[in-house]
Amino acid sequence: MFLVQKLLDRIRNAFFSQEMELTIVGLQNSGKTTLLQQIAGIDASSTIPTVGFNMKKVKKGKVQFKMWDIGGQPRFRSMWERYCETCTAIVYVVDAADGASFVDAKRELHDLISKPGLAGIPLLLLANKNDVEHASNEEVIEAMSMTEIQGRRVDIFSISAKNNDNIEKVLQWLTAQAQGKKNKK
Amino acid sequence: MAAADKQKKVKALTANGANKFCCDCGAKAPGWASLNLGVFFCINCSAIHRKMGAHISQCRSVTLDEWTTDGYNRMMFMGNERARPIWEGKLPDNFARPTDAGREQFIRDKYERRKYFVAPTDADVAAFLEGKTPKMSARPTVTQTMAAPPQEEDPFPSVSAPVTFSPGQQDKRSSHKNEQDLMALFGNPVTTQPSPVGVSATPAKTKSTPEAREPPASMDSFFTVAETPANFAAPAAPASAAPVNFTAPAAASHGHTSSLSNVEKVEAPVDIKRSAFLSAFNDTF
Repeated sequence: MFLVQKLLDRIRNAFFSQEMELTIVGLQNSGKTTLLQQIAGIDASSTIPTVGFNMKKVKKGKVQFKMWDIGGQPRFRSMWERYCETCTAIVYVVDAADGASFVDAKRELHDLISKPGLAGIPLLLLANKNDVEHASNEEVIEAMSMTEIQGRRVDIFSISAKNNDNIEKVLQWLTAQAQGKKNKK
Repeated sequence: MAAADKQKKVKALTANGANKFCCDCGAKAPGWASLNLGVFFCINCSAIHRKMGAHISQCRSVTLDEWTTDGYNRMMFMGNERARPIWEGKLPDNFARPTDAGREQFIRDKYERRKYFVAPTDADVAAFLEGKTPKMSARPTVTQTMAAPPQEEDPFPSVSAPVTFSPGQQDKRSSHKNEQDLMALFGNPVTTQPSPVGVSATPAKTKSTPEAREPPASMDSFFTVAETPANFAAPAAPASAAPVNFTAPAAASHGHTSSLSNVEKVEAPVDIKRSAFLSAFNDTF
């Protein structure tokens, strides 16, 4: 009985589940790996700097997420474009508590999304570390010049990957993008 | 190109003395650094440094990040050897460094709660500028560290001391009042904007000790800190020939050119190094 159930599940998944590839980018130490681990349900209490990338496949509801988390050091930033080209949505993480990094974060973000190959791909900006005292969502929106971005869907959430704050909202957004992609086809 | 150059110079710093070991756990060949603390550590300790937040430690990779002249100067002025009496001034000599479970607790104690912190005095700063390791009062044991470490398993020998300040000042340093003076000297501990740096650097000059006013230490003596000076000075060869050119870009890149360019014209080279040092570590102490 159990086996039959499993078999049915598998068939159903093969036909009805959606796959979504998303790329998590952002400067070093903005919380990309922590976010990835939090979504994947892994203990996110301590992460070492990512050298290269991490990849996790997670199933949430009907959607199978394939998540790429690319290192944020300057050495890895040229790789971002390649990983973003094939993805359904770009997730850009900013450390909202580190005001000194906003200038770099803005430059890298606008560099990335101005690439012709990435036109139209939805962008989710996450102002991470909202648990830290002096983190400010408004400042991030202002500093990133988010209002200048056109020709794609853009959303901004204030989250704390460490404390799992607002991660549900992020997943809802991602699921919505996956469905939007399916409807387009 | 220039950035790659700086990176090589920073990489060269990790080949010298105490920089060969993680400043927190003692692991070999640390590949990560803190820009604002001026220390090198291993990837596992870098996880904790990142976790504490950028207001405590700004973590950078020696090889994967781009380095500026300012960043390089911070690492050169401080480094593990000189940072140790400051951040571990009150740490018992026989302290067992946790490498596993207690690592986070120890690193947070060290930098976030400042449990072992001893604020550097004016004299210590002057010693930094001469490239010496100041003797901090809380560490009485004296052994020679600068000789090549004989046994590799002891990356944390007792701090040695080319003593550069008088005993009177040494007594003074432990008083609370003096610490407050120092806070005033170094400015607001959480300043992130470059603009107030120039402001705080100015009173610092008026308060500088006789040591800092003494004829400038030659760049040669500045580099004797390095266990293998050739290794260290080679990439910086043109700069070490002309100290003024050497520190000038640091000032410019820090964003308060106006105040510092005045200083450069009037003051002796030691003062230039001094203000570069103060501007680099203004937000740390």
